[in-house]
Amino acid sequence: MATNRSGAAQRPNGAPQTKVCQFKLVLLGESAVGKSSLVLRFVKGQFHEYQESTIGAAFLTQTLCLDDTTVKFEIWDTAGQERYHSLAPMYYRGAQAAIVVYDITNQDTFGRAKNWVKELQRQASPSIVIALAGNKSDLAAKRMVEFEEAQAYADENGLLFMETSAKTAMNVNDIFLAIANKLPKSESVGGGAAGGARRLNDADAPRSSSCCK
Amino acid sequence: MPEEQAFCLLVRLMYGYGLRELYKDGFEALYMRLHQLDRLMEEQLTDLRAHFQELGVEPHMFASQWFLTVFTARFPLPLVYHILDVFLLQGMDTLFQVSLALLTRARKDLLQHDFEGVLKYFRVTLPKKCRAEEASRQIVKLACSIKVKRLQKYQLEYEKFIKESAEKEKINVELERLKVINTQLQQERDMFESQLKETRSSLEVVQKESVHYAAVARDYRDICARLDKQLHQMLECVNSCVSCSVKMAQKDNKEDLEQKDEEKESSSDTEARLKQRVRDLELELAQVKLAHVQAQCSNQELSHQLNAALNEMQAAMNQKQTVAPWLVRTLSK
Repeated sequence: MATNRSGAAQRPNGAPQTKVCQFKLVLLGESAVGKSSLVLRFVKGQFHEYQESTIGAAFLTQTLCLDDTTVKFEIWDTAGQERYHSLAPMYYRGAQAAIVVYDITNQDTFGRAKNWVKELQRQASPSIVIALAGNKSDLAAKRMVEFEEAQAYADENGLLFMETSAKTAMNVNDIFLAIANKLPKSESVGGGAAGGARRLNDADAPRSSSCCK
Repeated sequence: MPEEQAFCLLVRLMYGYGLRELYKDGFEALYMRLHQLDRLMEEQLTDLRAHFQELGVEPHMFASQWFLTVFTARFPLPLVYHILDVFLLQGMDTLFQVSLALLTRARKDLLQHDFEGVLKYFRVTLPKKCRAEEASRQIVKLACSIKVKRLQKYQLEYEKFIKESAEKEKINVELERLKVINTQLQQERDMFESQLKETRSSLEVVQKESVHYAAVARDYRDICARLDKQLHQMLECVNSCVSCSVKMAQKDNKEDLEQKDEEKESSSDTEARLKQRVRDLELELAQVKLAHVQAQCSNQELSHQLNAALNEMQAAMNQKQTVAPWLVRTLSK
């Protein structure tokens, strides 16, 4: 996280014009698999043992620095409960990337993740980059979904795949980085650099507040 | 609060105050309420709503949580208590009044922000600004002063919109189907058109050829007619000359025979052989007849000689009468 922050802070100080790409990313998956926790870990580097259930959807942003490109993710963290399903299209419509999350200790959530992948392949933008995240890898002792099974499924469907842990931060940045690397960087956002940086700096202060959605 | 009372309150809130409706059936009622809020904003906070529209900020992005939790999710408790009091007193309208009050107070700030900033403001800044006791009192006071009208109209409007978009969806599906059919038909039409074009061009070629051949045929007819005419003239000429006409007749016969021969050539092979045989036999017959005539001639001569001899012998017999009778009998035969 530290590197990301410093990367973001450098830009207003007149860092050489790096290309800035902005991508809409949506998190999908059964409730309580850790979507909000993954985002919280990625955006703020925090983890809450008792993360509240997301209501509707939460919007957050985070910026990553690749070699020559600054990638800004606009993240829609959706609510996982089935009742919210009908709202999901509003968030994945126009998204360039999606992370479909399941809980490695719960086989049902893996099945649900497959359904999300199917829905994205059918309904979302055809060029969407989909990553599959098997979260809660710190609970490997209670594992119900084998790594190889998920890896094989991901390979079959052309998905990025990692087992992650929002709690230990394992692979959290890596999965976002992998997505950033896979996304096409042609669509540079003109004038977005300064604005993005400003907003990020604004956000640094309130990050310590109780808000975590 | 004892458990029973709390449960009664929950039941009352859900059924009496209609909150339950918000959670049912994929949030249909919630979206209707959000549409009502959108229309109220259009009415009372025109510039802010225009700004939101420009940014793509939709009411569901910030107000879903407000409505679904009656503002309890993120706002500080003093404000929450105030709001719940008013809600229990007035009911559903309070949701709109408080929403509009919050938006009115935040209007100036929100107008400064872009998409991301607006959503962050709702998530972080706004709850923070409501922390002060004074602020929450002012918000509730402002909320209570806000008039919420035409909710029924907006509800009907939304229901109509939903119905229409469902119909539109149906029509779109039908349209897509027809488009596919149309494309197919267009392809067929194009195919047929190109076929027609080909056929037309070949027809043209054929027509040109036929014109050409018709001209050729006409030329030949002319030539034939001319030659016919010449032939008639010649024949007249020939007929007027006797020797020529005889020659012509013979020639005609010969030509006829030749023609017949030609015709019969293949079929009259045996006939020819028979004819040859007939001719051979005729020749033989002629030779036989000739020989017969020669024989008759020599017979006649011999008869003459015999008669002469007999006469001589008679004379001699008459002279001599001495010749033996048997000889006389033999010779007289």
